[in-house]
Amino acid sequence: MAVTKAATERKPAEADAPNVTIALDPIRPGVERARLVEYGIPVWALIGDMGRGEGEMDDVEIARVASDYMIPEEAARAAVAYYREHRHAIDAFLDSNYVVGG
Amino acid sequence: MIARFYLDENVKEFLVAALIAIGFDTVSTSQMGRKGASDFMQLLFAAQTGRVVITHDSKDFQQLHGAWLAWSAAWGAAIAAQHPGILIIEQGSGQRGGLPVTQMVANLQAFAALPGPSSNLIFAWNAIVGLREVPPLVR
Repeated sequence: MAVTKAATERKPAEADAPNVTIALDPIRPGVERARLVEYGIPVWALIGDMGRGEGEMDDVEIARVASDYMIPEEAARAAVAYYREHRHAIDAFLDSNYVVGG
Repeated sequence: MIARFYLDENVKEFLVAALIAIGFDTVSTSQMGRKGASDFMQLLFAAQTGRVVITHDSKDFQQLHGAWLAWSAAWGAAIAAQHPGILIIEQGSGQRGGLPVTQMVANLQAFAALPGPSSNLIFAWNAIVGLREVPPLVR
């Protein structure tokens, strides 16, 4: 998994998710492109699958997304925690990630 | 249309088994040990193995597709350098979430049922417009 060991690498909610690391992607810069190191999945993809409305990121939704992506729930929770810290950047990426010209 | 798929790392891994179960030859970046590879290397791998790329990453793959067409044409390699196709499944904008696996499977069945080849073409699907071919970003 080609992710950076930059200073921004972190283990979100380490007490709850000791096996999950989120780090910037050296190929795709920006916090909005950070990914789960152990699973190689970008945070934005998980968040985009959950929906970002109030109350949408509940336990049921986190469990569903974790199941669909075949990752532990703690990894999906870590992604949500990271999203809450970088909400503006990730929202902006998701809102602009639509097909142009189609 | 081709029905061999290569799922990008941003797409649900569970979709692999769901597509195989209905007869589609499908692999993922995870299965191929290619997680974290650049998008251009992912597209090259898909082209070399004859698979349509399935992705949620419209930004990068639309640009990549345009570059593929422009550069292969400029170098006189337009016939030889064909990728099997790219399908972007939009996750939804605003507060909406993505699609359930069943809906994604249905979309891919619809894609596979399209008449004609998908080579060197890019397609997209969203809940509002449905499935359509997208003009390349070349200007």
